[in-house]
Amino acid sequence: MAAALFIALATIASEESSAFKGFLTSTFGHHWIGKGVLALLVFGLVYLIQKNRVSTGKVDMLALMWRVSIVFIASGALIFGFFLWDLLAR
Amino acid sequence: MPDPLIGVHAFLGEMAVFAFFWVFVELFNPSPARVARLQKIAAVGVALLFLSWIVGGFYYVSTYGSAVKPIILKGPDPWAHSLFTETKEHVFLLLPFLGIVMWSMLRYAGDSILKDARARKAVQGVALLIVLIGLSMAGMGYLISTGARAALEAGVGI
Repeated sequence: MAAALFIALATIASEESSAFKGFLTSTFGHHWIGKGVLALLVFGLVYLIQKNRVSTGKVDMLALMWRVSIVFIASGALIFGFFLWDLLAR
Repeated sequence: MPDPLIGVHAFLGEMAVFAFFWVFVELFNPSPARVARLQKIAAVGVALLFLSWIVGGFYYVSTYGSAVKPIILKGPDPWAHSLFTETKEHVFLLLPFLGIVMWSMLRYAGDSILKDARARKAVQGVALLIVLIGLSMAGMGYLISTGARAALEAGVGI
């Protein structure tokens, strides 16, 4: 969920801020690669922190599924909505 | 001739969709043997998503940006890039993470899936979401190809 939100926010930030896009491009060779690598890092970090909670059954799986679905759908919708707004605003 | 990497990217992505659809369907009637098999299928699905990510990303970075994007933007359907390529390239980043979430749910909560219908439905829900997002990727790929074809038919880039 953190990775999904990161991707959505980093996508919008890189379109709105040429400095951020330039940082991703200069660091990773391409802004898209930068977002992917940073999302992997965010996911790995949160996964390691949350791993034990899931494995010991402390998480309500159905509630987790709804949270995951809502966050991923919202992230996708945010990305699509941003580019639609950008297209219509031109 | 279209770049073969497009075909490889689409093939890998579609195989991943099939893998997660397999998980979704077979979980309607789970058994220990089925859950064990589905853990492997989900792992294969995650690997296919990452491979499709890498192949598609390589094509996007090495070829699309310099050879296809300018043609689409000069053609009659520039929205094919401005809206659908931009959305696809970023939404696709979400899919491998969703695949890992589903694989982890299967792997760490295998017993719960057999005993608890809520847990089974939870895994099925995430699998279905991957299938639906994966199919939307294929649809956006079609629209992007249509944008490039329309531009070429209009004489752009020739």
